[in-house]
Amino acid sequence: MQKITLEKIIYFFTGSVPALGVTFAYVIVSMIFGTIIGTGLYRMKSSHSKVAGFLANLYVTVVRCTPSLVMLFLVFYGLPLLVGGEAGARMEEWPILTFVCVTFSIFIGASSSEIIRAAVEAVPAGQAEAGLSVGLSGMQTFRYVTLPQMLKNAMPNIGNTVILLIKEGALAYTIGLRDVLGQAYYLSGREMNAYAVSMYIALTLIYWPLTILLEHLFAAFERALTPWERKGKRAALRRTAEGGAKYAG
Amino acid sequence: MRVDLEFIRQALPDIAKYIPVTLLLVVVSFFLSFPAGALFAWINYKKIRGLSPLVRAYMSLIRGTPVILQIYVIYNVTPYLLASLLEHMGSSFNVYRLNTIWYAFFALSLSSTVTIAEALRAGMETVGRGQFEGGLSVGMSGPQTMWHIVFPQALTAAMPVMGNVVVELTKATSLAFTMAVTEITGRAKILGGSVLRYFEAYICVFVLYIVIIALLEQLFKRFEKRISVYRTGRHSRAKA
Repeated sequence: MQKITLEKIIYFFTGSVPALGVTFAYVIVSMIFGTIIGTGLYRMKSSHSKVAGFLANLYVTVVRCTPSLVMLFLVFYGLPLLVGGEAGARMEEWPILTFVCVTFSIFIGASSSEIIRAAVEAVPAGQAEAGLSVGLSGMQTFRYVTLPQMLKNAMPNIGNTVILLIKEGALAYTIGLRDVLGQAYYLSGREMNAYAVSMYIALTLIYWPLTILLEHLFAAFERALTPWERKGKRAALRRTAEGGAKYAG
Repeated sequence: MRVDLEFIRQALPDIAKYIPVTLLLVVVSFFLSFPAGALFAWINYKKIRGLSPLVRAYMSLIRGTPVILQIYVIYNVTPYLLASLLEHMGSSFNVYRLNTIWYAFFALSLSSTVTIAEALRAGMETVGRGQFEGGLSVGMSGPQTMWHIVFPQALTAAMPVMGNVVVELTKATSLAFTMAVTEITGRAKILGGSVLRYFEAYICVFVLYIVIIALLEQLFKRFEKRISVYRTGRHSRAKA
């Protein structure tokens, strides 16, 4: 059995933590582009055109049935091939991170279209009508009435997606990305994997607390978005006097 | 380089030969994780002192780490532990001769256990308190009520999640090649690597996964329909 030493765990931990930047980079980029794709898909689904609806549903089904690993390989090997010629050859020199971002944007596009639909449907039309009836403009109604409720409904799903993305992204080490897992494997490989168990412990100590932290963070966002639903004496007070003044002005 | 259609035509049947391995991984992992998930759900539902925090810690750990990390830990650490345990017991069984697919079953069922446990616990909570009391009042014991009254209803409530578990499990089997198990993704990697036609090889598995999952979902929908006879209030609703 390999020896597990605290020294090695600390070595792998401190060596891999800086690579969190890479992880967050693809999470943020994929979330942005994925939401754009997802919004488009949602518009297609809710449009009257049958063709558009069918295409959007087909996209979601196909993506849902594809393992991330297979999609990752398809994009990594296929994108330069499909573009072809001079441009395709130049693509092969792109940083691996780009391919990872493309892959996960495709995935997030599918899941976010469902999240957006659920979020929109959860806000009754009466809410927007009420906003308009008290004299808010269309934009104001969206900004102060509809959007916070939509975001609040979508927040648990967004949180789950981000956490899933961080964990699934670890697979990108198979195409050579140095995110947290990739960096740890690289460091471990340099020592002929003699301290692999220490590396596993270090990785667990990075991923596990990170997930728990993100879960709490998104729950806090959810509460912050809907202060009127907060329970307890202080929240009730804020809702009436000070809060009332704050939200009116 | 251009897309080689001839290669796809030749590789597809070759890769398809490994579909039984993929299905075996799905089925065995599912039937390993279902009893464990049911047990965990029951422990969390009853909030059994001492066990419930342990189960929750396990669930949080599995949910908090990437599947690929779990696979590597299972694949690289358990053989050592098993070997030393067997040596301690005086057995001459050689762990390193064991087919690696056993580790794959175990590693893949870790995360589906957590999803199943969570779904069944939520299902149990939707079953009214009166159902349990009703079972006791007609003379059933606690475990009998649990098994004959609460559990079937919880299962029907958890059914949509079970379908998802099977889909997720099928997708996760693509990681089994990291444990030296040759299933469809592993075969595609070997074939594609031999002539550097990775894209074409992965197009084949891409198509196969879509077909497999679509079929499994159809199968599950049918099963769900059959099992829905246990749903609470179904008969009363039918009469009304």
